[in-house]
Amino acid sequence: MDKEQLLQQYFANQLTEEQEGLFNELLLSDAEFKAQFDFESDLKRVIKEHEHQQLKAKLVGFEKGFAKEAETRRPKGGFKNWSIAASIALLIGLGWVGYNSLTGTDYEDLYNDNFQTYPNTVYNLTRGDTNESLERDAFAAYEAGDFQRALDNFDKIPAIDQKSYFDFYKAQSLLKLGDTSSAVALLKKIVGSGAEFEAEAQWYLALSYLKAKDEKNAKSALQRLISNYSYNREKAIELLKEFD
Amino acid sequence: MNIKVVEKQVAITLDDLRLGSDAVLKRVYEENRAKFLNFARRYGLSEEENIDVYQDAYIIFYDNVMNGKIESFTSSISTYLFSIGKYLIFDRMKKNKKTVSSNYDLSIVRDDAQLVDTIEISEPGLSTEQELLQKHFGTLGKQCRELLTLFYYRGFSIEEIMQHEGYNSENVVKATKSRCMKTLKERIRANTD
Repeated sequence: MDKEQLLQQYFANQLTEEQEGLFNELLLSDAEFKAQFDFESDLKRVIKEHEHQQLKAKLVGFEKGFAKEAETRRPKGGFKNWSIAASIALLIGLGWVGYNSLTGTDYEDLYNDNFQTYPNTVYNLTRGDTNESLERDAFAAYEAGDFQRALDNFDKIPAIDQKSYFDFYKAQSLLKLGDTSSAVALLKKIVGSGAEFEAEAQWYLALSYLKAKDEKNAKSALQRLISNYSYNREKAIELLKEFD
Repeated sequence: MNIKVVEKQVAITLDDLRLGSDAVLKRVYEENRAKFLNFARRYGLSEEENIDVYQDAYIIFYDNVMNGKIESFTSSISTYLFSIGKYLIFDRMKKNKKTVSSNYDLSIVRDDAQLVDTIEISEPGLSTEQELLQKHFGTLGKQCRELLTLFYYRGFSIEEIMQHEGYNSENVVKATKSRCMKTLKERIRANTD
């Protein structure tokens, strides 16, 4: 059995007793094998971390939904402006669009009701913070809501260190700063590239078109999201109904 | 693997969880949330911390479904969540330097020990090499990230990946996997040279 096969079976928990003996022997005697094993073990750990971050972001999103749901149940007199906005966003999110019987389509409202800045799920700001990098500064500013500084920092990062997810967070910052057309250009680059946040970019692209009152492109962006991705699919279906 | 764990609606199976749809994820999260928070409140952490613990417990539970440590449900999902949650709460209380008073029912914790022993709870943070790897993993194309995640996180075999992702043969899956890892190594090397 070749060594690659042996490693593959190890990670699939499929080693026989005999293979396990050979495996342990190779770990001690074959430096190249050991290095490959370490690499794959590290990779496994990193992917787990990556999945944890994604899952945590989803759970935090569920919580936000519950909080908004609770707000809608409060007596009307206790409402503050922001909570009304949040409640309406939720009603649409829940598919309770009947509540919001619009006469004609108000794109600005639809945008505001559906737009939520995507959380930082890629850079862990709490880890052993000695890392004074531009990326760190960019995400710190992003989390603090200082989108201009976030954008400036992303732009300062040299081309060689640029990462695939920067464009997505730059687009988020641009949307918050009101520069919809620059955001659209970046989001279009991400969609179809196979990069991280492709589905999310498709959603924000649809919202950007809404903001720009471009109904045709907004509709086709939502349709593409619905047929290609699962992210915010239900929201997209509800949103699409608003155009009918 | 069609063990019933939830009485209401249609029961959620391990396979449903393994497939990882957002709808199942949300349903299980919602169904156990109130029960868990009610139980957690007795330990005197803030509501915010309780929610945080619930989420961490949920992630650990999910991990153990993925890595095959939970092969079949011998208890209900909520029992798993409570057992993991208790462990996390005590850990947090220790960190907050609160003493665990004798009022807390430690016997329950002991009973859960067997369940908790079979699953994996805590892990050290990422090493420098792993952080570098993490950075470059994010730059891989979608196909590579998905394939590697199915293999190393979800515990799919090469054959299952072939079927799930529509590859032509197991050899194609293996070749693609090798290529993805090669790309990853090259990017790390380019970054550290």
